[in-house]
Amino acid sequence: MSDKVNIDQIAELARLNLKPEERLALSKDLDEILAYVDQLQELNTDQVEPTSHPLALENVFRQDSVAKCDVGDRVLEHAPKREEKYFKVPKVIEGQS
Amino acid sequence: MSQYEPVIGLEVHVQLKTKSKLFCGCSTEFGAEPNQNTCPVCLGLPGSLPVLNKTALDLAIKVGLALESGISKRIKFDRKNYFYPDLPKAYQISQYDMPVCHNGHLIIEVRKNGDELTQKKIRMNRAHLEEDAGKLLHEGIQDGSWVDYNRAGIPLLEVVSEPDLCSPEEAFEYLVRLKAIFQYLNVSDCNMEEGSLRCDANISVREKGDTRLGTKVEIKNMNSFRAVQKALAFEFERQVAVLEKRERLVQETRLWNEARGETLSMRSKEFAHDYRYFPEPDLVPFSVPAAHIAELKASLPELPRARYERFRPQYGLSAYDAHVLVSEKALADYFEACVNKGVSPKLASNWIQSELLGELNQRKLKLSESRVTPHALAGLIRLIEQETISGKIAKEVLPLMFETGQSAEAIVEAKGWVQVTDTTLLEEVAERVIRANPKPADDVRAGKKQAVGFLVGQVMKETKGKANPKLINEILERKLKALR
Ligand SMILES: [Zn+2]
Repeated sequence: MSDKVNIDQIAELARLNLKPEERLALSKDLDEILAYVDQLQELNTDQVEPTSHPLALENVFRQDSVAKCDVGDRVLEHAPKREEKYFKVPKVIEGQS
Repeated sequence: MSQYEPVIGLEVHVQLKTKSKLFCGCSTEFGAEPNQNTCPVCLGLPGSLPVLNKTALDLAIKVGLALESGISKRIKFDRKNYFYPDLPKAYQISQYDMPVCHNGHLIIEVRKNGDELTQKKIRMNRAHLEEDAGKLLHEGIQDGSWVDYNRAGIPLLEVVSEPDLCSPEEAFEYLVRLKAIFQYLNVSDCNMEEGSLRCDANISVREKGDTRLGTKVEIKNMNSFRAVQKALAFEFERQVAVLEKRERLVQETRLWNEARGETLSMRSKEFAHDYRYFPEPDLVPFSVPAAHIAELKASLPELPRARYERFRPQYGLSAYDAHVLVSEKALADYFEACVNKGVSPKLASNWIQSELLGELNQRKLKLSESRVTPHALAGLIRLIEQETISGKIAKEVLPLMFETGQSAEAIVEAKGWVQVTDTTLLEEVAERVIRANPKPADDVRAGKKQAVGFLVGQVMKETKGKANPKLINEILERKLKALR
């Protein structure tokens, strides 16, 4: 088992239920990814501007105008559960102790 | 108890006044039918792409400039990941390490030793753009909750202060000043009931003189500035009590319960706040040209602090009066509109702060809903200045102005409340009063000046309060001397 990756915590944060074999396989994958990142870390990037986006684009805006979409009802129709004009979800009340 | 002090920082979420949402064209209008202001972008449907609303960024920059903060050279958006059904995408588009604004400050007035107001600089760490979440309804719903995504994607600016606030009162003052700035800039409706202004607080306690910070507790769920103040006061006492028992405080999030007047632990799991931020790949980065920032800066209106500095000398107001008036833009505008009609600023300030606001309060009206316009109030004040009516009568006229919508002049005329300044008439009354009250009259002649007050009162009574007191005094004194 990897000492770098806490696969159980990652799975819990991502709300994933992993089977034992998936757990092992994913651990191995993540270890390899981290090893690759370690390799990248060795490069000297002092002169390189950090990139947050692969495209050489910036300042893509939309103007502030309303575009009515009318998709609400159709999306509601496809929802696993709905009541009146609302989506219905299992009861989760944040902060209830 | 007194050897402890609170260290407080505030996170204010303000809804920016745009027509459409932050990343899509859905309307931001309040009160629409549930889930009707939605589209594939704000519902997080596959294949949809968010695009930044330019106005939202401009409004955020304006707030930053008003708080004298730096505007980041490079602005980017990040995904904040968490699972809660108010987020259709299971992440919120927010900003992590490259927020729109950084390092600003706000000046507040704090009371030191008694009544003296001193200025204190509260530093702002950052202000960043993020999308609002949807709304969950729990009450009265069987086996589940309802979700309305109309709010999802509405533009919010989160303004994060440094922990520079040292008391619940300072926190309240900070919120009032910050809200005033939002209102002056016209970047938000600042309506707490509709959720367009919200505040979370961080508080820790430490022994006075200590420079280290104690264990931080976050408080949420306050729905007014007063609630923030009360929650902080409660939390300070709670934390001190824990420390005095030599127990340890836990770093946690607590919810303010207004009805019970206390904060309650949310008991959330420790890693629940591991948001695993990463750059939002669906949005490109932004950089705002210096020329555009300069343009926005030039467009800023006069801000509360500048208006305060102008009001004091221009209208000869006290520090307190000037502060109350500028604290709400509408109030300061009302005052200036009134004064522009040529009435005394001091009188206008008094009448607005005590009588006008009192009447509005009683009638549960906002200033913007006042039937008595600045022009109409100036009309009433002018009648006092011209000594047509006394201040006492004026206080009876104002409620009638609210009820009838008539001008002060019309009401005074109709009611026959014009102050009697007719000297011939007043002399007759004065003579009658002196004859009917020989004893007090003799006292005055004998040099007992205070006895004249009784006679003035009698003249007032005969004229049903409409006589000009100054004039009666003069007439009585003259007559008593003449008869000596
Ligand atoms: Zn939308």
